[in-house]
Amino acid sequence: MDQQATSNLGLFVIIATLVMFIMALSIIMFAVLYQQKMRRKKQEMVQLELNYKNEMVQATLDAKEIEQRRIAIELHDDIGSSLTALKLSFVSLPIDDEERKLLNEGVQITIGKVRSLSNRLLPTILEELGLIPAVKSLVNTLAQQIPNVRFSVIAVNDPKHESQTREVSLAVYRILQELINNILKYADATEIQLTLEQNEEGIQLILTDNGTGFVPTKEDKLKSQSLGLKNIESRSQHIGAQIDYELQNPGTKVTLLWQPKTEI
Amino acid sequence: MGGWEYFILSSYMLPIGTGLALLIQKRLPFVGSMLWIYMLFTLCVEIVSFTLASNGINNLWLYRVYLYAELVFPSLFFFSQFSKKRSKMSIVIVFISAIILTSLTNLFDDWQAHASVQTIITFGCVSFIIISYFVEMFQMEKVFSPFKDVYFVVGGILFLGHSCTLIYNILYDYLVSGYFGASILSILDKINLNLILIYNILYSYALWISRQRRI
Repeated sequence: MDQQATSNLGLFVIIATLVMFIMALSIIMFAVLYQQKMRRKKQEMVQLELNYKNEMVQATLDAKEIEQRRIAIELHDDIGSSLTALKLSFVSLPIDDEERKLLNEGVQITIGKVRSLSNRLLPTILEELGLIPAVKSLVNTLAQQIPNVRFSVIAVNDPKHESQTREVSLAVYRILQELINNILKYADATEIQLTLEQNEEGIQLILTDNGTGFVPTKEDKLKSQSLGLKNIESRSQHIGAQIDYELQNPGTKVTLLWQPKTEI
Repeated sequence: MGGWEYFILSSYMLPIGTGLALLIQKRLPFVGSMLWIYMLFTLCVEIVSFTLASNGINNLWLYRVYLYAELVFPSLFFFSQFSKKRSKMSIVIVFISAIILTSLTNLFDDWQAHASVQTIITFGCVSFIIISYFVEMFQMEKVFSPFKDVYFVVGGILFLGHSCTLIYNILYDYLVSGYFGASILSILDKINLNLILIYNILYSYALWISRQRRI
């Protein structure tokens, strides 16, 4: 065999080996790319599922808010007015002043309870005066209702630079309600301190108590049977706020931070 | 045998050392142990083969014996990865057929010559197993990180290794006789030798990712 033919055959061997290598590599690369595609698809599915769950919780919360608003209006406008009318009707009753006074006091207490309930369901003060007066009012009401717990509020407000919308204020208010509710229910605390600051930078709320400390884990937030933690998580996610829990000695410190989104 | 060849031979210590370290720490799972034993067997074969060649003794018969290990290892290694009964059956059939065919051809072959036919059988069996593994992966839509999966990495190395050396092994007798020219044999020898180094690094990586995690 001449030199040229040997050289050509040698080249054929090299090319054939190269072809085999490229073929094997192509199959492996195809499998790798397919896996990457599958992983992306799965991630998208997980994200979609998460978004769907969040939307479901948000829809439940929205529905709850609408229902609360309706009940609050009914309580204020219908039952409240009826009680006032009842109170006025006592004037014409053929009873002595002592009995009238007793009846008036009873109805007045009921009117007060209805107003308080109505206000808890629909914090009109929040819509009319803003977050800080609403929070102060909430804490004052609770302090009156629960005398064995000492409440203290430090609120710093920059009214010229309120950056939040009504939606954010309501969410922060509801989160605070839920957090205080949890402390009263489970923490066995005797002191609750609240610091609220709002300005153009956003809102910062710090809530500390001296009760049994509790820091919810990620699982607690997701799997908890109680709606409380889920509501807090869902509301904070919805407005883009960050909530941090920190164990104190004693008690827990909860920090909520909301900052307006900066548009680029 | 030159210095580079010794270096390549010593590169087997990389996966064996990795496996041994994991074994001592009791972090080598069953699949890792299988891979480690396969590497240990390969090293033994390579040492004997180099020693025989250095003393001018024909070592091609050893390659025929080693081909059985090349058939057994992937079959056992990937068998657990098949969930479909049909796939498992086909793997068993292909494996048994490959063993029978290799044994039959070995009976009628000259053991002092290169095992070209047996190489084709082994390549066919290994390719079938690994491609079946890939196909089942596509069908079952299993999601995992390919470069962190010991089966995928080992499958890739085996498939690439057998594909790259197929032509070389089929035409070995012709290459040695100078049919394709001396330079081609030298080039392919060098490529194969350096590929061993790459495979050993990859096998070490495969052993490392197979380790049992401590929580």
